[in-house]
Amino acid sequence: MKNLFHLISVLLIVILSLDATTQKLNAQAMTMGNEPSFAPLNLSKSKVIDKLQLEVWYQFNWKYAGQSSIQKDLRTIQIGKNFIFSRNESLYQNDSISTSLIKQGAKGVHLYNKPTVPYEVLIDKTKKTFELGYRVPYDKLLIFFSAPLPQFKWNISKDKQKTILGQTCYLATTTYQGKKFEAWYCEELPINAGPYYFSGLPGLILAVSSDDFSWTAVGIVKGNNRDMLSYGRPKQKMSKKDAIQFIKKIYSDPVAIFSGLGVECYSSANNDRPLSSGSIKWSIPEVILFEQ
Amino acid sequence: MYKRKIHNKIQTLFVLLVLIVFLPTHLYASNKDFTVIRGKITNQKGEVVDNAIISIATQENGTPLAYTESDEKGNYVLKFKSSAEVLFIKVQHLSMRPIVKKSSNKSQELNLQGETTSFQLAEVIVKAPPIRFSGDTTSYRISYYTEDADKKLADVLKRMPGVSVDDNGKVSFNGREISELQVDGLNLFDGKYNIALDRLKPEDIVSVDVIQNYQPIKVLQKSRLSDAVAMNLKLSPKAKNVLTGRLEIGSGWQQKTNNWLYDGSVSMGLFNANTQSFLTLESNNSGEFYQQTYANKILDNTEHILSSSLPNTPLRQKNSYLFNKGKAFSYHGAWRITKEQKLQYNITALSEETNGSSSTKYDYNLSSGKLVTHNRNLFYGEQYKKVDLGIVYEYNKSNVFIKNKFNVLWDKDTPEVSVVTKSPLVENLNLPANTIYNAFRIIRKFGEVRGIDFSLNTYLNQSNERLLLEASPTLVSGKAANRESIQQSLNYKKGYLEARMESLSTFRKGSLSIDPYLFSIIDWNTINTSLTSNVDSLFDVNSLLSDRVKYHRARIGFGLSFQYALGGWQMVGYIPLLYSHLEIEGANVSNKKNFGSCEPTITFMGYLFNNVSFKLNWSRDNSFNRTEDFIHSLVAKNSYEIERSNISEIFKTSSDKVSTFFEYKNPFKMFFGNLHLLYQNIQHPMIMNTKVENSNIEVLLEPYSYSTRILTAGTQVSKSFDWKKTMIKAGLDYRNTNSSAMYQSVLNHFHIHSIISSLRIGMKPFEWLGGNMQVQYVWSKYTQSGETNNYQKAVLSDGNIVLNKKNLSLVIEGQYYAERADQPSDLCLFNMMVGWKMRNMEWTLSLRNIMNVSAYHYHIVNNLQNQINGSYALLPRSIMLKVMFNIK
Repeated sequence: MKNLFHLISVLLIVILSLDATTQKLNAQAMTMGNEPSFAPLNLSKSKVIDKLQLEVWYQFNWKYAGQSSIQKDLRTIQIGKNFIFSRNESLYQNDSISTSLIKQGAKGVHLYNKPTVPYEVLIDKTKKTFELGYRVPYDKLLIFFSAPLPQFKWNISKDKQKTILGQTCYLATTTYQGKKFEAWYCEELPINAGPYYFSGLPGLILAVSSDDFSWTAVGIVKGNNRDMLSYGRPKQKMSKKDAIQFIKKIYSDPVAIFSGLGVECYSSANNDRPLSSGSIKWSIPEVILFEQ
Repeated sequence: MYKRKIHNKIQTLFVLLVLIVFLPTHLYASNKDFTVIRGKITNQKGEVVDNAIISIATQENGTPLAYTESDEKGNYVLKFKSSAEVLFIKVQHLSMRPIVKKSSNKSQELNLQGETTSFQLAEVIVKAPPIRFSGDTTSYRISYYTEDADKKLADVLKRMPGVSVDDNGKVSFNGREISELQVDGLNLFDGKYNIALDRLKPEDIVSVDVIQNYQPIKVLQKSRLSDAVAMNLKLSPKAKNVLTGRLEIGSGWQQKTNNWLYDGSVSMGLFNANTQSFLTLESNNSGEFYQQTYANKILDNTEHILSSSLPNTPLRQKNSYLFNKGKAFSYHGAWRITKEQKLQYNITALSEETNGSSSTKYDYNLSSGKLVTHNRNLFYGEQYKKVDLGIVYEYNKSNVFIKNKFNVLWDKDTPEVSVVTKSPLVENLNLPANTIYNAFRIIRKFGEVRGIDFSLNTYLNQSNERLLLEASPTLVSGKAANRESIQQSLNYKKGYLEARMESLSTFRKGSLSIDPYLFSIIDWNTINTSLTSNVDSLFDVNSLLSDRVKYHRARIGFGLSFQYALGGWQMVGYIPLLYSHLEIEGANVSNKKNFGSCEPTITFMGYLFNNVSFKLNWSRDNSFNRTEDFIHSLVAKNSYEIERSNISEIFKTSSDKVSTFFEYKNPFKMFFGNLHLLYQNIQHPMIMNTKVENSNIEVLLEPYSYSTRILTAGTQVSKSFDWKKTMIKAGLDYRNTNSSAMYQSVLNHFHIHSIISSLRIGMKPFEWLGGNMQVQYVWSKYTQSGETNNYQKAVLSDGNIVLNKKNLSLVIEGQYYAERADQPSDLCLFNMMVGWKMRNMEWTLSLRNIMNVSAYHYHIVNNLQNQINGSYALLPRSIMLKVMFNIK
């Protein structure tokens, strides 16, 4: 009953926040492809949450569940004094361009429709908690859950070294949620941070890998005390279980979800007739299922 | 009952006693194996350091037994088990030097103090996408587009999709010229950005940021739309706070002429957070041209009335046909005084001598059916000298903006041409000019958007043009005093004062904003001409040989500027109402006239689709006669052209322009494109009547009404692919001109269609092999009422192949030019460079004109009456060995 209530409330928020500019003809119709598309966020409303110390770019290699081919994303980790924010760089760039276009009077802005994992992580270092959020396809809504920062039990082997971005890194291994992870951290960058919500090592984690996904640093730039911003957007907090279940439902039958909200869904290949429930299924990234 | 209570109390006391006695023992036992170290981390000022990482190990750099972070009060606790007697505690923080403390293995309180330092991180950007977008900014990662053989930033920019650099060094982004080029946010080079493109090392730059809708004036950021494009070169951290630059020395030899060649240059920059300096000093006689690099884009465009017939060819590399000797010095500095105040200063000095030779045959079909041929064999030379100085001060705050730009330029152009015609003449032309320019602007904002914008621009220019034509002493015998000579002098003084005041956001309702503005322009011009000759038969005895013209204009106007946004569309416009008063006074002409006019400019802008922006512009413009239009005396422009005017009226030339511009930008596909259309209708009140005489051309300006209609359409697309680093740029420009020309006093209507298509491909199939190729195809068709069409077709291509193996590089450059006309001609030129890179130096051996091609032949169809067949002597084969040192 509680789950049903959550699902209904989230669906209501989804329909209220659907971006009319991205739709086919009006707010009650949308075009869908074989990949989920993501509506851009207007970045004009922002507030300063911290001062940037470092900005690290990671290449994120991931797979769809049940598939072997590797997909690539670029992630940016912004490290502040009190917060660490991990964003999807491609989605951010799309947001950024769209904000500029809207400012100039653009009527329609482009959806991002390349394979990507729409996750965002905000770590509160003071409270030792993190928020893991997912962008809802075709929407500005972010659904997220909050949890205490995991206490990873790392085994450090300083005899194993690797150079990443010219920095000496040491190996640390752990098992978390049933998966073995190998991390390479750098003592010369004394910051307790890393990609996703990996942390707890005496230096910045420059690479983390498991069988299905990995992050490798490809660039570091100093923050130069720039502002770390949080952007105004619709957000819905849920339990971890509900959030993952909701995302799984959208990916497994997006037409059913959006049609249930009164939105007519059309195929991008053939838009003569509205799509029926079950006609489109999107592959879900393994890293999302990892959280269930 | 009481006994039971007593018993219970005794039992509780017993348990407590047991606990009191045994708990510390138990606790001691449980902590016996652990060591607990706690303490506080502070810096040398006693301030707490939070988020520091504290680790403990048995060896100085060993695997940590435990580690923790200091809390917001700087406190830390380390708890660990170890049997080691000595331990090493290490404290690290981004803002502190690491502390390593040796300690005995015992529980203790250990407060540690560190020394604050600035965080040193060599910023690295690796594997990031080649192009990133953030709002209005497009960032190109320069290392992705740089090849080992690149010495100039311009070569790298040419490979970037969406960016183009034309043959004159003009940089454009998606079809629009950049308004300024900054170095790390400072406009260091002001208008002379070619210095940055030619002399900054590509490896000193991390990324090239292109900023669209660039509005640098903070006061206007909320109230004025801008479609300006700026480029910012983001410096590599390695190039900051150190002296960076290049020192080059080279020597070589040129075949046939047996000339020893030299080339030396130093370029050095020092870039700090608030100050930037860049110095260049160079000299060569090997063909490296400096004029374009050091051109002042605002002031160097001084037009001269007298002009020599110096050659201009379609060949891209001037140093293939012009011998050049030059010296140049420049210093540019920028100082960010405060966050709001900037100062930029520069000085440039340049001296260049250029030589070459050409042989040209001009065929003129006279209306009587007679063919007149002028053969002009030229040995030309030019000496160009200039010194310019500029200072720019800027105060840019959110409520006030002040800018003053001051420039002084002295330049002297002295072309010298030996013309071998029927009577050999030497043409000496001296074109010195002095220019002072000052632009002042102040904007003061009152409240959120309202304010006043005032600008005052002053321009003063004075030139003394002199032409001396005399028979060459080497070609004609006789005493100098008896030689035929013609002297033409022309003194031109001009200046203007322009004031403009605009009220900002005077009327504002919703998205509509209407602002009134007032402006006035006063310009004054004086020309004195005189021609003296000892060749009596050359001119009609009744010809006027001297003249004096004073021409003053005052324009006062009131206008409205407006901005309006409707849906996704925006409309921006200026509607000025003008009153003009003009006075002309000369030896042969005197006239006054008043004009009233409206010269609006209206622009619609918006987005048609997600990635396609659209701009539609309409403008009407009126211009009045130039001062030189009133010179009634004969003016010998050069050795074969004489001009004079028959204009006594003040005329207005009106022009209507409609243009559209479509821009396509796809961030994720690295695909850029634009399409522009322009229709222009010009109503001319005067016409040039060209009369070909036996050995001269006389151009007479006379009153005649006719119109010119020009339609131009152009498109450019560029895309880059990750596959083999492939880049494709294609362009197509079409021009259709309908106009009239007067020739031998007969009016001819003509129609020209011309197409220029270009394709540029760059590719790096292997790590050791790369190349670029550019092909340009020119087609034009000339039609004159009832006459045969004339076609001209030409192909110009150039390219290079770059081979790299370890430190060795080989570059082969080729140029091919082919013309298909009545007299087909071809040209193929090759250059080669071998480079050897060492740690901080590089050796280059270059061979120019390997095939030793001696001449380049060309054919130009100007119109049915005028066709040119000519040839330029190319510079012979040369070899040069150069060594380049990196300054760092």
